[in-house]
Amino acid sequence: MKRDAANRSRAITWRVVSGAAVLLIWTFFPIAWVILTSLKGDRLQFSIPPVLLFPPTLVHYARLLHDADFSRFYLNSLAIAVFSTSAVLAVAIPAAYAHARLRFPGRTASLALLIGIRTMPPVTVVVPLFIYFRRLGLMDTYLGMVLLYTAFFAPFGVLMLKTFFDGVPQEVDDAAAIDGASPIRRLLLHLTPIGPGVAAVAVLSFISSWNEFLFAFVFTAREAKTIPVALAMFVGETGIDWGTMTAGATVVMVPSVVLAWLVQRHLVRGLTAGALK
Amino acid sequence: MREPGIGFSLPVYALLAGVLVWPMAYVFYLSFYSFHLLTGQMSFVALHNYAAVVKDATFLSAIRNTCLYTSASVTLELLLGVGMALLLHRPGRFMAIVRGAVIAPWALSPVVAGLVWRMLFHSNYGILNYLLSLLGVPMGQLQWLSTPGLAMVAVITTEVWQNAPFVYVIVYAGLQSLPAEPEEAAAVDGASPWQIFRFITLPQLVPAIGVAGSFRTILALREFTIPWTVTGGGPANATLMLSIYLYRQMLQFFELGRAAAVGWIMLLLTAVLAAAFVARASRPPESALTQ
Repeated sequence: MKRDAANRSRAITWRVVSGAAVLLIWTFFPIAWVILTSLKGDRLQFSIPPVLLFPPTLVHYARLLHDADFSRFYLNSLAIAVFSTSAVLAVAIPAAYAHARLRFPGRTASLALLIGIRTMPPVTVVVPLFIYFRRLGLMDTYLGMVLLYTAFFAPFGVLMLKTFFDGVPQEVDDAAAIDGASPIRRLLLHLTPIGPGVAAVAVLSFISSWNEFLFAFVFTAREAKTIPVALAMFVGETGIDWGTMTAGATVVMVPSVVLAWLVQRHLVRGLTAGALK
Repeated sequence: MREPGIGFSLPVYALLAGVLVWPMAYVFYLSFYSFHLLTGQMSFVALHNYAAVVKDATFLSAIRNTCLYTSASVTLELLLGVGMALLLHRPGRFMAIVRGAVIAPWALSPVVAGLVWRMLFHSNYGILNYLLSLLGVPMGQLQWLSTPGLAMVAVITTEVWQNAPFVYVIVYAGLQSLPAEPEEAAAVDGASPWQIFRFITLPQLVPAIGVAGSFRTILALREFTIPWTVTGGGPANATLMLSIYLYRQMLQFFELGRAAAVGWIMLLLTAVLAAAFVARASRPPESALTQ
């Protein structure tokens, strides 16, 4: 009887199902609408009432595929995301291990600093970085963008990976230390158990870089311009070309949605470790 | 290296020093100078940038807009996110699938979210106005993106759509970690579902809601991309946020000193908020609840 009473509040009633249905419509209608619009021919784009059944066409995707600029920007996005994700892992894994397992002076202060630094608004550093990027020739380069993204996502990587290192039994470390293993060897021993954490940090860094707009908008022009910036340009400059715009939006959103779905179990840790965006 | 802990962390420190800490110091320095991007002229002007900004009516309306945007968005995100968590905190395969699916908007680039809603809100060809026309509002009568109040509604809707899942993820994790016994005992004692929620579940969720709310407040305060893509800050600056104001000072008026002053003001605002949240979070939950 006790069970029944408790389960009452978690039962799946028709009200719960309709609530979930409303929630799914709210979540997916805009996404579905974009995909639907991207498959409509030019003449149907602006028909009112909207046409729901129509022969789908890939003409907008073909247009994007043949647009040398768009392919270039897509490649830029991919390359910058891959490089900055690798760089985040390279700097964050040792730092996270140090903060979890090695005692060093200022460790607590360093952790607080990593948390505090995450709250700084990126738009504030845009001004000084703009001046220095111009002086150092980093404007519109992969290197400049990778540096920015790595610096911005590394603190989150350290904090999130630290929680995974914390979950590995201390004995693993102690036994290796007794055998005289160096800190680097001890770190390498941990890589297998924290594998899922590394994968989650990699995926979240990749998504953040792939989606980022402000820095890419200010610091790139053509050579290193990324897909979100190219998408934003569709508005206004060329009037409204919903076909191309929605096709572009679709190819940008598919990777991030799929990747986020893959790491959903680790999202809480990622979000609270440093709130990515 | 005598201290491997420091050695292991050095690359991160170096990056942060170069890309974040040093620029923060430099932006503070710059905020006391007049520095025009095109002429390259730089001269010390003490507090003039701050004075000029604070006297600028556009800046004041950017402050008002940002406060409205942040408070309305975060309130709605908390309500929706907590509602989602409570609704989906149920056993079964169907619920598990829904739980994985509803995070999708959060994973999108804010540019995509902005463009999507910009399209939905379009006054002549948008689906929203079409649906309203079925209810008797003539197509094109509601000019969402070119009417000040409605434009703010559009921007806030986009922000809430994209970020309520963030609140949901954190609150749902909090919900999962709660023990079932108090709810069971209350149910046995004849408490109504609302009473159980109000007096047992909700008080225990306060820490999770607090964390989610703090993060969202800090992140909404600096948001650039959503207002930029949905309205561009218009019409007539009605959705101009501090971040867009800063951007304009920098790349439209080329007044880097003023942009630096705005940047520093935003940093201070964020720091004050973050400190307030930390102070609040370190108090016992009971006292947080009674406020």
